[in-house]
Amino acid sequence: METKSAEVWVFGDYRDYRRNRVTLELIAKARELAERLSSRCAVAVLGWNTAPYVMEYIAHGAEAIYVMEAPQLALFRSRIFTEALCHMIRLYEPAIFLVGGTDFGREFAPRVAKRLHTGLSSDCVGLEIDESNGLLVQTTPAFGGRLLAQVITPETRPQMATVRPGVFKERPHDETASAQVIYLEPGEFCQAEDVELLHEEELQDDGARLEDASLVVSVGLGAADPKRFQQSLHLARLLGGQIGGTRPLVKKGILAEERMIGQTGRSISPKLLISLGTSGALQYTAGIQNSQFIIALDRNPDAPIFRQADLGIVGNIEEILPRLLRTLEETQRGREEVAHA
Amino acid sequence: MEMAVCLKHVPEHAEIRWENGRWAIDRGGVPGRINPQDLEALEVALQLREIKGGRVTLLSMGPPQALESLMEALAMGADRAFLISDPALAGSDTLATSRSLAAALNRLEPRADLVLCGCRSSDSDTGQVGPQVAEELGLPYLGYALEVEIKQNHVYVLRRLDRRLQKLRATIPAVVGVLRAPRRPRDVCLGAVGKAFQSKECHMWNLRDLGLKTEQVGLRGSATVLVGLKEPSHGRQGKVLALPPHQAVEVILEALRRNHVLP
Ligand SMILES: Cc1cc2nc3c(=O)[nH]c(=O)nc-3n(C[C@H](O)[C@H](O)[C@H](O)COP(=O)(O)OP(=O)(O)OC[C@H]3O[C@@H](n4cnc5c(N)ncnc54)[C@H](O)[C@@H]3O)c2cc1C
Repeated sequence: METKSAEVWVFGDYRDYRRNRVTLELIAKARELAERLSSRCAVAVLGWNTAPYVMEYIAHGAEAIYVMEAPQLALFRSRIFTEALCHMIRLYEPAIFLVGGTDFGREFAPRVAKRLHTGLSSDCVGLEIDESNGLLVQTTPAFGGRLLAQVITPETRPQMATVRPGVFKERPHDETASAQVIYLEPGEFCQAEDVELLHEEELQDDGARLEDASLVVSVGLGAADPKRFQQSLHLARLLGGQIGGTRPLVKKGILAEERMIGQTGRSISPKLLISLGTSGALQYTAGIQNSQFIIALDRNPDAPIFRQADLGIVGNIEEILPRLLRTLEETQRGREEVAHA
Repeated sequence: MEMAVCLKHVPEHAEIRWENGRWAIDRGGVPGRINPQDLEALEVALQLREIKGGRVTLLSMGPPQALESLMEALAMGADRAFLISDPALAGSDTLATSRSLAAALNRLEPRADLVLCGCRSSDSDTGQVGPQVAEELGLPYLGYALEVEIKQNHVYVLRRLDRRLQKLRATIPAVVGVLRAPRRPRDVCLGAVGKAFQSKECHMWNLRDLGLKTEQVGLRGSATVLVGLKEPSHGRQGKVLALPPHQAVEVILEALRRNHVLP
C-alpha cells in the first residue's frame, strides 16, 4: 500500500487501558473519516512492550499501525514523544492527527502542532469531513460550553485535534481483523527528555476526577440541607457513582471545590447524571452537556433544567429521595441474599 | 530569580449575539478580570520571590483593557508589567499567540529563569498556549503543577496528570503551567490598585517592538480558521413527568435499568 496516502492517524495512548478508552473511540471515528477520504485509519504507538495494545487496536478497527519501541519510551513524557511523533509525521505525512483529550494528550499535542507549525483545536466534541473540500471540520466548545465553534485548518498539515473522551463510540472487538504493522527505528531523539520524573504514584479514586466518573449524582440548592445531602451521597455510593454539585453548595462549604460542575467548575461526561434540585442555570448546564443521559428532579415544573434533561421528574426531593433509597437498598439486600443462597 | 508570569485578561462574560444571521462576539464593553488560573500562577511566583528574592514580571497580550488586569496584578505585588497590544494581533490562534508571547519573553531584560502561566483560560480554554510557548522557546515544560520549588538551578514540580501524582525536575530556565490548588491568591484592596497606577509602570509593546511581522500573527499567522458558531443541540428526549412519589421512584428505577446502572 502507498505510504503517503494522507492517512487519518490516532495517537495510541494505551495507559490505563481498561478505563481510558479514548484511543479506541478515536480509532472508530478515524475509520469513518478515512473512508470519506478514501484513505485508511492508522495508529501511532510509541512505548515499550506495546504488542498487546497493537493487537487491541487492530481488533478495534485500525488498518495500519506505526510502532516505535524503546525502553526510553516506556514512560509517557512530552518532549521525547513530541520529537518521535514529529519524526513519524514528517515521514508519512498523515492528513489528520487525532489525540485523546487526556492530561498528557493535551500537554503534548500542542507541542507537536507548534513544531510542525500546524493548527490544533482542543477538546473537540465533533469531527466531520466537509464533502466540498475534504477538510476536517472540528467542533469545539467555546465560551464555557455555551456555544460550539467550528474550526478548520485549511492549509497546514496535519489537521490536528484533541478529542474529549466519551464522545465517540468504540467499535466492537473483532478478533479476525488484520492490519499492516510498521516498526520504525527509534532515533537518537529518544534520549532527549529535558524533564526528569523523580517519583510517581497512582491516585486513588477520590473523585478529584469527576470528569472520569460514569455516574454522577449532582446536588443543587434544592437538596443542600445536611440530611438531603447525606442521602444524595448515599445514592451516589449505592449506584457506584461520584457526587458533584452546583456553585452555591461550594460557597456554603458543603461541597469541595473540585466537585463543582459547570462553566467555572468541571465539565463532566458520565453515562448517567442524576441532577437533584438544580434549577439549570447556564453556568451549571455548560458543564453537563456531554452526559449521555440526564435525569433531573425538581419541584418547579418551569425549571430550565427540564429542557436539558432526558427524563425530568417534577416533585419534592424530600418525598422522593428517601423512598428511592429504601427501594434500592431493599433490592440490593435481595440480591445479596440470592447470592448467598 | 527572574520570573515572568503570563496573564490573560478575560471577559467576565462575553456578550454573544445573533446578528444579521451570524454569531457576533462582543468582548469590548464587558468588564474583564484576570484569568483565574493565571492568578494562581502569579501567587506561585510571588511566594517564590518571598523565598528566593528576585523579580516578578507580568506579560499579557490583549486589547488595551488588559491594562486593568495588569494593574491589579501589580497591586498584588508584581514588580513590572508589559502589555503586548497591536491591532494586527486580533484573531490570533494559539500558534500565533504563543509566537508573540515567546517573542516578548525573548526580549525581556534580563531573561526569565522561570516562566509561569495558568494551565487554561476561562474563555477560550484551549490549554495550548503554555506548552506552545515552551516549545517555541525550546524550554522544558512542566504542566498541571500543584507545587513549585526552586533549588539551585533546578525547578521541582509536584503535579497531577491523568490519575497520577508526579514529582518532576528540570533545569531552569523552564516554563511551568500552574493548576488550581488550595493556595488562595492574596486579596488586594482598591487603594493598592490606585497606588500601583501611580507608582508602577506598565510598558506597552507593539508588533514592531517584538520584531514580528503582521503575517506572523493575527488571522494571517494562524493555522486554524473559525468557520462557524452554533448552539449546542442536546438531542435530549426531554420527557417531563409530574407523578406521585411512589410512581416517580418507579420511573427513575426503570431509567436506571435502561441505562444499565441496575440489572
Ligand atoms: C460568573 C459565574 C460563574 C458561575 N459558575 C458556575 C458554575 O460553574 N457552576 C454552577 O453550578 N454555578 C455557577 N454559577 C452560579 C449559577 O449562576 C447559579 O447560581 C447556580 O448554578 C444555581 O445553583 P442551584 O441550581 O443549585 O440553585 P438554584 O438556582 O437556587 O436552584 C435550586 C432548585 O432546587 C429546587 N428545589 C428546592 N427545594 C426543592 C425540593 N424540596 N424538591 C425539589 N426541588 C427543590 C428549586 O425549584 C430550584 O429549581 C456561576 C455564576 C456566575 C455569575
